[in-house]
Amino acid sequence: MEAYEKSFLVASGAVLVAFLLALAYSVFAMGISMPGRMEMIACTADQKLRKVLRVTPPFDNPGVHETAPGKFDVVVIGQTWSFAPDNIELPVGAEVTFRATSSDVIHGFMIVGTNVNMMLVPGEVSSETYKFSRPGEYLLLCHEYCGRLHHTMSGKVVVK
Amino acid sequence: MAAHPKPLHVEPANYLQGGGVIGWLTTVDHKRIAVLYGVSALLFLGLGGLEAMAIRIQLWAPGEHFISARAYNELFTMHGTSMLFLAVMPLLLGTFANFMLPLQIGARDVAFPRINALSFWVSLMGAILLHLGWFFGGLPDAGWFGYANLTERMYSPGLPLDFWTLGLIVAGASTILATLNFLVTLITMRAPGMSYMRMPMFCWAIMITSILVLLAFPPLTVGLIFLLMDRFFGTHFYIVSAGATPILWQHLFWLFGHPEVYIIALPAFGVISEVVPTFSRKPLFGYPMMAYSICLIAFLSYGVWGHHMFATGMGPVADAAFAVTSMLIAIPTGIKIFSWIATVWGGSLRMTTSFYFALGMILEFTFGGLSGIMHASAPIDLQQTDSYFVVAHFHYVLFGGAVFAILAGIFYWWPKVTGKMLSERLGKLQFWLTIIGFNGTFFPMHFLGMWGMPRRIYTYGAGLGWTHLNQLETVCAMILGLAFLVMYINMVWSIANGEKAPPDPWDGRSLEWSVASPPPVYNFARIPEVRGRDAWWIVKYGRTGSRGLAAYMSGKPPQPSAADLAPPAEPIHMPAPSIFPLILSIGVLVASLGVIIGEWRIVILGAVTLVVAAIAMGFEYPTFGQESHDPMAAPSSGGTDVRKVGIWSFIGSECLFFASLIATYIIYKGRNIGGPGAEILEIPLTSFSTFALLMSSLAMVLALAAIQRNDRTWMRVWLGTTIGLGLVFLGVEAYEFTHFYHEGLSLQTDLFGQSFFTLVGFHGAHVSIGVLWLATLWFASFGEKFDGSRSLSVELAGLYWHFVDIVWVIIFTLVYLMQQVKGA
Repeated sequence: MEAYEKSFLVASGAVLVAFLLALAYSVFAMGISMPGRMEMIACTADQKLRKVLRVTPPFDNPGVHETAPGKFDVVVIGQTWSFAPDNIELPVGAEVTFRATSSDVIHGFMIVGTNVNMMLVPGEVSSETYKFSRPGEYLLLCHEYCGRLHHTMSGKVVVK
Repeated sequence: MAAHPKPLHVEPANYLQGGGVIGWLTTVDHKRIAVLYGVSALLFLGLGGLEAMAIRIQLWAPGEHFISARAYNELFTMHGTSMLFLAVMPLLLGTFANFMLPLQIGARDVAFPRINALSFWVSLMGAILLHLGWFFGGLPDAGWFGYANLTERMYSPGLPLDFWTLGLIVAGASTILATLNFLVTLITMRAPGMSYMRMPMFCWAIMITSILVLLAFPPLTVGLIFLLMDRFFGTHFYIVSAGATPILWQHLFWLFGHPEVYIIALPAFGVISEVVPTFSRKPLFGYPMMAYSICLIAFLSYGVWGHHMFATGMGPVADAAFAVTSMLIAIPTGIKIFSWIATVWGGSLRMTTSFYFALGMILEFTFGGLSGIMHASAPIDLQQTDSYFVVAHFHYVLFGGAVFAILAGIFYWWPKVTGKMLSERLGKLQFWLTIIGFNGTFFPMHFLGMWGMPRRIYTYGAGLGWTHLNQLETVCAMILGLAFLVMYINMVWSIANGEKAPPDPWDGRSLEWSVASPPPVYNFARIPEVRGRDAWWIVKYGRTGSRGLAAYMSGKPPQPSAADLAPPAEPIHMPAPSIFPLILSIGVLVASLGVIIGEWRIVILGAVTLVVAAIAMGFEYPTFGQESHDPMAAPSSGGTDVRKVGIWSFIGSECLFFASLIATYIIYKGRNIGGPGAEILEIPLTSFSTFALLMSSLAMVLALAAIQRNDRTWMRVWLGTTIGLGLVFLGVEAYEFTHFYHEGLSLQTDLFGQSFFTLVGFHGAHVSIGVLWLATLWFASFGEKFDGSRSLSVELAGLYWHFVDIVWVIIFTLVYLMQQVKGA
């Protein structure tokens, strides 16, 4: 094997190791979490999902709930073509757990400029935790195509 | 199967001449079929391009209303669907592979010429179905990957999605037929001396792509069949309120969808691996590694589908596994890029338009590959999910990779196909317009994606800072459109006034350049003997490259001699034309239309046309069922009959079909709510029918043994036994189904019912086809010529029959026996 080849093999190996380290760093040090295994919403036959949601906690009461000082649960339902609620107000520094689902087709749940990026699957609960340390108005978007007026499905998160 | 009973006297004309319209409609010549594919694909390429331009105009400014939201959604759906299924794949596989494979391996046609014609006509019918929505209430508008449950009837009412579903099933079936043909051709029909490791790299790419198609399309077909049943028969495969999950569609779709990326990329790599050595005038660098890396890419491509679904929450183990495999696949792809660069390195380069596009492809595809590696990192991928970054990435792969390769291939092979040269000046103009237009359109999308712009939005807000880059993209998309206009003009100009092409205009390396341009109907007057890789180069310059040096230096490569191009002394058996592929595919179209508009008489009309045409095709020639491949017409390099290789490939594809059905059954059995479950199954009764089916396999073996020792009587007895036992099995199944129905279990009742009936029902359909096949043989055995030489016909039917039995053993174990163990 030529010296050239050896140095290229070493370099390629180093690049791979660097990629893996970057991956590990992003997950463990920066705390970027992936959407976890989802909870299911139990359905009974012949019942509209919308009706089931109305009586299934926490979706019987969508909105912002303070669970402990500085900690919030935000419960959101995505539906064709809006979010409920679509105007979420939070204090600066709030540690927020979003718990969201869809009542009809698959929707997206993305807060632009943050790590919050989920797919809302009907019948399943998606959760993601994020800490809002900067004040501002964040755009909440559905980024999974969901039909005719998909582009109008948006909301905002106001952090004051 | 293919040879004509009478020697067909072949005029020394080229394949384009003669026959008139009827000649084209009934052609089975792989070259004509390739041209038909090419014309339809170029049409859809233009249409898809216009759709893309309309999309870009709509995105020119915030709040723009150039088209309606509905039209916008239709356009991006049809842009994706037609570009992939009706333009890029048909150009790479239908046109390039169809035309070049037989020429490159020294054969006179593909293994199954009529099936080749059938796959074109069926694909055309699929394309028509996809577009018929124009006249029936609008085009499909659920996106090219049609995520369930948006595609359900309650969210997408009306006909458009019905056309989409059926159109894709039909187009998918035609792709399976076409690639099955390629695989068998490459295995059995290589010229003497053309070993696998001497095949041009393009052939390697097509061989592995064919395997990918055979194994990747069945999951898509199954997913589409579920959708079809949901939309038409009231099942609940993707309906949440019945306990099902729409995520099932995503798994089935991406199990197809990611290999699909390589189904497009591998042939593109193959084209580049032909163009780069030719214009560098050097052998392809690292040939064995290039071949192995194709195999490795294909293997890994089945393990990466999950990286499309990080946002669905698959759990940390699945996320990590998919991240690692997605990263691994960069290695064999990197090998290819470096090998191309090493081929160019130190070469004596000739800067033709084709080579420009090939070099452009290497550059742009590398960009796409790099943003692809980013997606292997799950946290990064998650952030980019459904953003414009993804749109940028896959256009760099599909346009920068596949379309650039297609353009390189068009300029490279156009002289061979048409006998005319394209204008190099217009070609270079097109190249620069393409490079500017392409990068200007797609590069800014990376930034828009990072800034939060999601894909598939009709319009966007004014204060988001997305406007300027969108306007740049729209301008550049127009430049890109102009580039393609130049190409179409160049094509028309070339056919009308182009310079006449010599047989070998580029100093080529593979055998297609050793025949006239355009090639004669029979391809090769004499089947070439292959003495090494780059077979035609060796003929020209000798093994060491010492011969013909003066010609090489002068830049005027040696052409095939007049004697080489002279028509053969004796007539050559060529496959005879057939009208039945066209009729059969019309049957497919009519039946599909009948299903969609819900008129069952039309369905029956179409189905009857289809079946009659299929049977007529089978009995068209008296040679039916014989080992009819004339050694002159089709040199076989493996010694295995083409039909045997064909049926094995088909069985391989079927395995994935049943695997998808079985996996769905297992998933949904556990989620069953309401309605009866697996406790309804009756083991003793089914054990009896299983026993009957297993015994029928034994009888099948005995029937084959009998015909092999030329004993017709006993063959008939055993064949009859097999048919009888098959009928017993079907009878019990029919009783079982009716019984369950009375017990309150139907397709619509619950998840268990629908997945049980679908799995067992499709198996039953396979058994019925087997019984029909065997019955045909049984009747044929009363014909005079049915003796030991026909044993292959029995063997083929037997292979299929055994396969169906083995599938049943698996179904019986998983569905019936394991259920009981669990219940006890």
